[in-house]
Amino acid sequence: MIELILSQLANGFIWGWILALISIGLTLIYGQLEIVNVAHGVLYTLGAVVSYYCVADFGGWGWSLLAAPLFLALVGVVIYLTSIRFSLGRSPIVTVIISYGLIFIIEQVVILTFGGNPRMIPNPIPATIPFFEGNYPVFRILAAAFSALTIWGLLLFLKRTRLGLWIRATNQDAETAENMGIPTRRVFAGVFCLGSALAGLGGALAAPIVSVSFDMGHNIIIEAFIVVIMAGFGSIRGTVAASLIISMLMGLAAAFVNPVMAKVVAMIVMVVVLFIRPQGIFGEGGQ
Amino acid sequence: MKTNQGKKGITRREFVKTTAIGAATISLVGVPALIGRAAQPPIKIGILMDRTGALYSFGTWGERAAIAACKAINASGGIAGRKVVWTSEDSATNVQTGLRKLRKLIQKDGCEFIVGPCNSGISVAAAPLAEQMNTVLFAWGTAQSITGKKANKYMFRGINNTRHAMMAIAKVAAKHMGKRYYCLGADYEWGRSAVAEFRRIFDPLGGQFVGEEYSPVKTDDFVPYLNKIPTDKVDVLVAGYFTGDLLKLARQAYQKGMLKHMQIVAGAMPTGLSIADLGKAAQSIWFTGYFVRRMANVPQPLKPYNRAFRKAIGMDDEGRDIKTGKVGSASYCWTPWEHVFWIKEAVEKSGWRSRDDNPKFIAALEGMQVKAGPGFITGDKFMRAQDHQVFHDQYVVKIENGNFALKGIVKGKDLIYPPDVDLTKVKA
Repeated sequence: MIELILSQLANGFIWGWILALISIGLTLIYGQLEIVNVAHGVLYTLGAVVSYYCVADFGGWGWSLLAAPLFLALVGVVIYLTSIRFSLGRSPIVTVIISYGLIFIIEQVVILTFGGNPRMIPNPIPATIPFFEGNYPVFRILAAAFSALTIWGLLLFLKRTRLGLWIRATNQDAETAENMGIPTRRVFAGVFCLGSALAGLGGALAAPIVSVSFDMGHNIIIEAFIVVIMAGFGSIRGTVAASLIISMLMGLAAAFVNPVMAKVVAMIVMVVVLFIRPQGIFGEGGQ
Repeated sequence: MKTNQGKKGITRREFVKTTAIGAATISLVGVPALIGRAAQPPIKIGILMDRTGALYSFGTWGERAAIAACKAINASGGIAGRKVVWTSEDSATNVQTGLRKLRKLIQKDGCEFIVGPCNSGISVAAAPLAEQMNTVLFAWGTAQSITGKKANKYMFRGINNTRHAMMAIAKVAAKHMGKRYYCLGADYEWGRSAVAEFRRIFDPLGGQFVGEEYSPVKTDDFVPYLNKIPTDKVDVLVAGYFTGDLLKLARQAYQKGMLKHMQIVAGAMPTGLSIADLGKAAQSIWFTGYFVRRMANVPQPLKPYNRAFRKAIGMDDEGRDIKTGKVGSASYCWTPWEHVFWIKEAVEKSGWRSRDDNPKFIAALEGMQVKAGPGFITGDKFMRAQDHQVFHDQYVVKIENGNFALKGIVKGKDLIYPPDVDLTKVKA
C-alpha cells in the first residue's frame, strides 16, 4: 500500500507541472484582460496537433517545442485582433460566448485537416526507469522538468524585463499605465499571445503522453479552470501550487478509492479552500 | 329508310359505337393503372449519423455506406419498383441533438425509415420517439441494452452487439491465454457492458477475476488506474475502450513494463486505428471485430461483395480512404449499408406501401434470414424475432508483423444466447 501511495503521489507531482504550464496561460489572460477564455483547451489541442505534424513531416518531436508556441502565438494574434479585443471591458458572458464559438470553429478546422481519428506520437524518449514494482517513463519526468523550467523563465521574464514590467504595470492599473506611456493595447495583445503560446507548448509536451485528437482539450480545460479558481485568477505562483496540490491529491485519493472518485475528492478540497479563501490560495493579482 | 339487307360487315354507325365503348372501357380500367404506376411515391429513408463529435469517424463512413446503398438500390430498380430518396442529418454524438434531428427527419422531411447512428445512447433514447411517430429505426450501436432491456418493437439492429463481441474474444482468450484477469473499462453504457459480458463468458471457462476499475471517457492519464493492477497476478487485461482511450491505455501499460507477460483483450476493433501509433504495445493486444478491416482477411466467398462495397464507398483493400489515405471503419461501416438492404427485403416481402403497413413490415423482418450477397456483404444472417437482434460471425484479430492477422472466426450460431425480451408478444 505504501508503494501504491508513493507511486500515485509521484505521478501526480509529475503531471501537476504539465497541468501548471497549461493553466498559467489561462490565468495570465484572465489576470491581464479579465476575460474567461474557454477556448484555452482548444489552443492546447492545436499545440498537440502541431507536435504531430512536426513528427510526421519533419521527423522530430523536438521541433514542436519551438513550432507549437510560435504557431499558437500567431493564432493568438489573429484571435485577439478579430474577436477578443472587441469584448474587452464588456460583460464576461460576451467573452465566454465568443470563446465558445472559437471552440467550434477551431475544432472543425482540426477535423477537416487533421481528421477525426485519435493519433499517437511515438515517445521521443522511450526509456523508462525502475519505479517501485514497475517502470516509469523518463519522458514524463523530462516533460515536467521542462514545464518547471518554462514557468521559472516566465517569472524571470515578468520580473526582470521591460516587457514584463509593462505587463505587471498594466495588470495593476491599466489606465495609469496608459498615462505613463505604456502601450496597453499592445500589452493586452501580447499577453493573449503569450497565454496561447503556453497552452500550445503544454499541448506539445502532453502529445507524446496522451493521444492527439480534435477534442482532447475538453478534459484539460476543466482541470485548468479548477486549478486557476483555486489559485486565484492572475496568480502564477498560486497556479503552480494549486496544480501540484490538486494533482497529488487526486493521486493520493486514487490509492484508496476509484480514480473517478479521487477527482470528486479534489473538487471537495477546492470548495473548502474557496470557502476559507474566496479569492483563492494566493489571491488575485499576485505573481 | 335504307338498309344494308343482304350485305355483310358493319355500318359506320356500328363502328363508331363500338370504338366509343372500347375507348371508355380502356379509360375505366387502364388509365388508373397508368396513373397509379406514374404516381408511385419514392421511399424516404432518413440517415442519422454522428458526422461530428467523438464518433465522427464512424458517422462519416456510415453515412457514405448508407447513401451508397441507396444509390445501388436505385440503380437496380429501387425497392418494389419505387425509387429511394434520402435525407442525412448529423447527430453530433449527442443525445439531445440526435433526438432533435430524428424529429426533423420524420416530421419535416417525411422519412419513413431511419438508419441510425452507432451511438448507443442516441439509439436507446430515439427508439421510444420513433415508435411514437410510427417509424422503424435501425440501430447501429452495439450496447447490449438496445436489444436487451431497452429493446423496442420499432427498433432493429443489423450488427452483433457487445455480448457477441465479448463472447467471441472470451472464447479465444480461454484457448490462448492465462485465466487470471483484470478489467478496465470506460465508465458509460458500452464500457461497463463490455466488461460484464466478458466476465459472463470467461468465468465459466475457468476465468479468475482479480479486480476492475472504470475511468471516464477520454481519460488522459491511465497511470493511476494501471498502478492498481497487480501485474504479477494478472494474465489478461480486459479493456472496455474505443480507439483513443485504448491507444493511450495500451501505450502507457507498455511504458510501465506491464505487457511483458500480460495480454490486453480489447472489446472492439478500434476503428481508424493506425497500427504504427501503437508501437511495440501492438503485439500484446487482441481485438474482436464485427468484420475485418483488410481484404486479405475477408473470407473467400465474401470477397466479390466486399470488393464492390469498398468501391462504392471509396475504400481501398487496407481499409483506407482512397482519396485521403486515412484509415476508415471497415469493420463497422458495412452496417448502415446492410440496414438499407434490410429495409428493401422487408418492404418487398411484406408488400409495405406506407407507414400504415409498418406492422406488416415489422412482422416480415422478425425472424428473417438473409444470404450473403451484394446487399449483405458480411455473410448470412438472421434477425431474431424476440429481440430484433441479428446474428453473424464475429472475428478475432491480433497485430502481427505490423498488420492485423486473423486469429479466429466464431460462427454466428455459436454466439446465440437466450433473449432478454420477447417482442413477439408486443403489438406493433
